[in-house]
Order: sequence, then structure tokens, then C-alpha cells
Amino acid sequence: MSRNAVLLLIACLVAPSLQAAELVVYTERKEPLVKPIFDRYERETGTRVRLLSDAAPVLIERIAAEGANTRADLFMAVDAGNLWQAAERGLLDPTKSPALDAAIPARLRDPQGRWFALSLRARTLVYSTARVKPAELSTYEALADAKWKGRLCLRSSKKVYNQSLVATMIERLGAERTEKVVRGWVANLATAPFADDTLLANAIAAGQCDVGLVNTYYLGRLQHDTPGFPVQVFWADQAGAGAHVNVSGAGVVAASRNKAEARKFLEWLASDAVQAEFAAVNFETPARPGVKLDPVVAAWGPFRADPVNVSVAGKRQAEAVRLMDRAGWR
Amino acid sequence: MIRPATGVAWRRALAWTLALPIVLPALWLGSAFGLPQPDVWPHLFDQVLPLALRNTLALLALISVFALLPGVGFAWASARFEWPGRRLFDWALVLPMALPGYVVAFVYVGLADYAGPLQSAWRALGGAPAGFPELRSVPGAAAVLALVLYPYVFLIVRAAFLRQGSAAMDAARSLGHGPLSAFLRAALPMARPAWVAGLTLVLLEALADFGAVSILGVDTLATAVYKTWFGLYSLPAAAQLAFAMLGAVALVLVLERMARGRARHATRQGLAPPRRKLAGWRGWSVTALAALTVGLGFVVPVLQLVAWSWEARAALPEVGEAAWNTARLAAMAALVVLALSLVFALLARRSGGDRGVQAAGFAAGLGYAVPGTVLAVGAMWLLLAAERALPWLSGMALSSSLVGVLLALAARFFRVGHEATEAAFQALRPSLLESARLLGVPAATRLRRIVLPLLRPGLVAALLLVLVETVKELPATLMLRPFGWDTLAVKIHAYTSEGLWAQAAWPALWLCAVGLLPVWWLVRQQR
Repeated sequence: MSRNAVLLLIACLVAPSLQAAELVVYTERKEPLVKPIFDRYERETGTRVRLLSDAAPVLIERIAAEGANTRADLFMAVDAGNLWQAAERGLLDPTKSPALDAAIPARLRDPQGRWFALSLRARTLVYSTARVKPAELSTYEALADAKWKGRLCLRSSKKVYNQSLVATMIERLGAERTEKVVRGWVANLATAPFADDTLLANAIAAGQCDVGLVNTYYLGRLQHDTPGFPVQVFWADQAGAGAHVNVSGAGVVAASRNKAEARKFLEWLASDAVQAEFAAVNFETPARPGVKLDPVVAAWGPFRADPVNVSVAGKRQAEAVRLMDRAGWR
Repeated sequence: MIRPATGVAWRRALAWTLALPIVLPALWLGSAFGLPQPDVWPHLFDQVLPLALRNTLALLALISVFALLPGVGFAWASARFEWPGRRLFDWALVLPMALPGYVVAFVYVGLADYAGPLQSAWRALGGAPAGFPELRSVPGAAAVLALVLYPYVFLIVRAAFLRQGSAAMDAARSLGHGPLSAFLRAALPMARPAWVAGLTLVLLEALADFGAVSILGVDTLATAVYKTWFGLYSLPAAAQLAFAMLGAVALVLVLERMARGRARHATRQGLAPPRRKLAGWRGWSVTALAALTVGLGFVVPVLQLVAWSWEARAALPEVGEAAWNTARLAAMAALVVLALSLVFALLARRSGGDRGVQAAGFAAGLGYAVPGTVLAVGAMWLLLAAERALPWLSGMALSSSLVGVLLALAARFFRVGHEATEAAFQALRPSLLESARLLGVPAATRLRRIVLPLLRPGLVAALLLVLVETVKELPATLMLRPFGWDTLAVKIHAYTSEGLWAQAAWPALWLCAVGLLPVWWLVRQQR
């Protein structure tokens, strides 16, 4: 038995060997959301796309440590802050592509072309259709008002989506005002922050709280699975800056040996037909304007997005985390 | 030992050489002190650590109580008494061990949070929302973690009680002590190495846990480490914090050893006394408590996973390959750890308990107290440094082969295998080996004919404990696995991190099935 085990051990160590005509994507966007798209690329072009998923900071560290030996061709993240970090560390190369520049609006890509948004993830207000009238809602800041005392639900401040939201608020309102707003939110909490947005939306549906902040696709899934789900999207600050939009996007790894192939893949991902599927898999909004929306997403209506360049989320992330800590947002 | 401890020096050198690869990932954390983080630490001290430290201490204190009570209680009941269903519960009480804490945590949040069926029913019956205990809290997290961790105590302490014989208890009783007092004054102190070992595993596991506490919304030192890295984007400060935790753990473990002092907890290999029958309500109340424990720790979570899988039956993820990978990886890691543990145990004995040799084993085991991801960074760094220093290695792509993940798993779980192996050696009486040696039996034959057969149950236990741990392990596997090596834990994570609980249930059920095999084997071994 033990000799077989040793042979097995050796066989397994040798097994994962390199193959040609393939792309390797280090992705924070999880396998269930990207695998169908990657498989489609293989069917259409014959190029196999393999993925390695983990949290973005871990992937960044891995690419940095692997240096010239890395197998990564593309880095994909679900948050502009992490894309910015990867670019800052010099891990991503500028990609010159008229097709990409035409497809993705300027504020949704790195000015140097080191990464491009592929889908939009709006983080906005959601409310109980039973206990709140849309007319009572307006901006993110207004949720700090005492009238929401004991009625607000938030997710943990450890989630990067909240960090990015607060980072753009600091950019827009300044640190002092933002901290005041966040303190107001914390004072209004109905319960301790949740571990994810699904739990939060369910809590609103069940009556634990009346309003909350979520990425809309979490609600999209619930609305899709449960028709008549008693929670609805409210687009924040439409009279002002607009709703906070984060991105899921990708860039070409600087040490990649397949940059031309990687660029082609990015262009394919930004093409009309693929954009629709890429976003619809998860009820997100395509980064390319004018692409057909999933019915669940379309039902929320058009909205004005905060025009700030999303890379602010990266620049101000640590500042946002400190601010949230000071304000007592756990 | 008859033969004086010759060659201690080379044994020490060998021990440290073997320990080095699994000590280095943890030691690397210390090298981060070379990169001072003056703007991060004041913030951590002011805003993060006070709460994290308070929560961690409270969590560990509560888990000690929650894990020792059922662990020691059922071990005593199972070793010394006969009650309805005792044979069934001998193994059923171990089952919760097959479930990872993060799975049980998400099941219970789904069941017992405000929006879940339990609280909804409670409110429907007219209960005040505030009257329902809050699961997402320190006591809640302690209860959930203890539910899946108490079997470590149960297994180890039960084996000790079975070995203990009844002489000390009888003596205590004859001196006028009641049954409880005799248990507390004789049986429990005699089993101290066992319950301390079990409790240590439980506490270190809890200290390094990230998944369950983050689902349950409790900020601990482990979540602070992750936050420092992922949120404040300071990997050096995260490594420094993890290293400080490691130092504190090492200190506590050393203090415990010193407190145990030179006392030898010799176990006279007396036959366990016949089990006393607990008649009537006494017996049945033990049965009821055991059923409740197994029900909460295993049956309820599994039923909920089945229900969720059923809900998501239209699109169940493909898990066959991941299950196979999980089993293979766990088997390899367990064999590596077992081989290392065996070498260390032999070296320690042949060097006459030399401190230097023992220190190597102790240091190698410290990885158990480090959150997986941070330890994995250390392993990755180590491999990449090796590749850079030795260019001919880089062709083998160490950092993306199984070597990396096996190194990290060995560093993480060496302590588990080593403790169990050391315990196995307690069953080996030196006199037996001396007789064989005096009779001129060659060393190889001694090992094969005497040592290994006697050690077998203990070694199998060590192997299986590491197997179960590896099956459940997430962060290090996630970070260091090569392409195409997704395990079940990785699959579960892919769904839970997106809040897709129902889809995560199916791989979680499989993980439970894969984890049950070693548990079942382990229990059979312990009969």
C-alpha cells in the first residue's frame, strides 16, 4: 500500500504539466461566473482558457512573487481598487487596442490601458417595498438621518465593495463629511453588519430592517428566484453625483508570454455579444454601452452613475478602511 | 535507555534539517519586521486590536468550556458506563469532526438568523425578536466552533480513559470521595496530557479560523490579519501581526509544558474496568444529551445541506473531479506528515529526549496556530526564493506544482500528526525493545516486528486526523494549488464568497462524505 502511495505521489507531482495554445487567467471573479464564458471562447477559437481563482490581494502577491516565471496572462478582479493596486505594483502592461478603447468608456478603464472594466456593479440603496416609499429615499448621505434609526442594515466594512463606496465618498465629500455620514449610518444600524449582501437583502425582506446598501446583482438573483421578492432597488443620488458603480475587469499581466493572445481575448470579452452574456450570468450591467440587458436588470431602469474614475477606489482604499474603523463600522 | 545517547549532535542536525522547510514559512513572517509599518500600527493599536484581542480571548475561553464539557463528559460516559445507544454514540459523537467550521457556520446563520426559519417561527409564535439569542456574536461563534471541534477532545480523552484502569479511582473512592470528587481528583488529573492535547488542538484551530468567524461577524486576531492585508494593503504588517500571535502561542505552550514539569504521566496499561450500567433515567439522559450534541453538530447541518442541494437540483455543480482531488491531496499530505512525525518521534526517543531534538519538533508544529493564508504566503515565498537561487529548479515550476501546497499543508498540520504519533509511542514500553535488543534482534527487524505493529493504531490515528484536517482546509489550498487542482473546499468557497449558499451545499455534502471516510476508519481503529 505504501509503495503505491509513493508512486501516486510522484505521478501527481509530475501530472500538471504545461500545455501550449492556452491562456491562464488569475481571477477573483469566481469560477461559476466566468467558466461558461471561458468555455465559449475555447469553442469559438480553440484557445483553452484556464483559471486560477482566489482573493485579488493573494493573486497580486502571487503574480508579484512569481515574477518572470508567472503563468498568468490576464489578471481579473471584481473591484476597481484591486485592479488599481495591481497596476500600481507594475504587474499589468498597457494594452493598445482601438477596439477596447472604443468599447469601454474612458472612466471605466485605466488611463494607460493597464486594465479595462468588463461589467458594472452598482452599489446602491435597496428598500422594503412593504415599509418604505421610494419618495422617502434620496442619497447615501441621507441614510445617516435619525429617521432611519434602527432601520438600516449594512454589510461588514471588511468587504471591498463597501471600502470602494466610502473611498469615492471621500473623494466627493471630503474625509470629514464622509466620516460624519458613516458615523450616522453606524448609529442607525438595526443589527450587526452582515457577512454578505444576500443575508442583508433577506433581512430586509424578513423585516429586521427597512433599507440597506447592496450590489444590485445580489438582489437580482433573489428577485429572479423569488418573483415578488419584497425588496427593490433605489438609484441613489440621481439629482446629484449619481449611484456608486464599481467594476469587474481585467488587464494583461506584464510578465505574460502570450500578450497578443491575451489582448485578443480581452477584445473578445468586450465585444457586443459576449458583453451581454458576461454581465447577464450575474445580473450585472455590461461595461460596453448599448448592450442588451438582462430583463431583471432592465426592470430597475436606467440610472445616472457617479462619473468619478473608478480607480479612486484603489487610491483611497486604505484611507476608507481607517475611516470606517474610526466610525465603528465593523 | 541502556545505551547512552550517542550521536545526539547529528540527530539534532537531522531534526532541524527536516523541521526547517516547515518552520521557514512561519519564520518568514518574522522577516517582515525588516519592513517597519509606522503608519499602519498606530491604527491597528487604536482601532482594530483592542476589540480583536477582547473577542479572541473571550472566544477561546468560551470554546474551552463548550468543547471540554461534551468532550470530556462523553469520553468518560463512553469509557466507563453503559447506557442506551452507547455503542452507536461511540462513533456518532465523532461525526461533527467531518464538517468544516465555515460550513456549519453558514448553515446555522441560514437557520437561526432573523430571516431564517427558526426566528421566523419564534416571531410567528409571538416571541419578541430581542428574546432570541443572537447567533452572530462571540458566544454564538464559540458555540458553533465548539460543535465541530469538541470531537478532538472526545477522541483523545476517551482513549486515555480507556487506558487508565480503575486503580486510582478505586483508591480515591476508598478514601471517602464521592464519584464526582474522585473523577475530578483522580481520573481527570491523570488524563491531563490527553485533555490538554485535545484542548490545544481545539484552541489553535479556533485561533487560526477565518471562515467561520467572518460568517458569524466576529472580529478576531485572525480577521485582523486578513484585514490588514486585504483592506489596509499592508502584507508586512499582516505578517508581523501573525508572527506576534505565533510568539504568544509558543509562549503559552512552553508555559504549559513547564507547569506539567517533570511529572511523568505514566499510564499503567491496566485493563479498563467493566462499564457500569446507568439504569433508568440516568442512562437515558446521557443518551438524550449525546443525541442532542450529534444532532446539532452533524444531523441538522447535513439535513440543511441536503435541503439546499434539493432546492438547487436543477443546476448542481460538477464536483466529481474536485472530490477526487480532495481525496488525493489529503492522502498525500497525510503521508508526508506521518512520515515526518515518525522520524521526529524516533529521533526524540533515540536521542534520549534531547531538548534540541524536541525543540525542532515543537517549532515545526507552530504552523498550526497561523492563519492558513499567511502561512501560505510564507511557503510561496520560500519556494520562489528556492527557484531563484537554484535556477534548475524553476523548470519544475515549484510554485505551481503540488510541492507548494504540500509544504504549506505539512507546515500547517504537522502538529496534529506529531502529537498523535507521540501519543502512539507512549504505548511502546522501552523494556520490550531492550529485551529484543539484548536477544540480538537486528534494528530493522525490531522496527518491523515490534515497533510498527505496536504503534499501528496510533499511527493510523495520526494519519486520519491529518486527512480530516486537510480535507477541510481552505486558505492554503486555495492559494497554492496548481491549475486544475480545485478541491471541494475551493468549490464551496467559490459559491459562498458570492453569497450563493444553496449552490455551495452540494460540494459541502461531498466534502462531508469524503471527510467521513477517515472519521469512520478512525473510530473503528479506536475500538
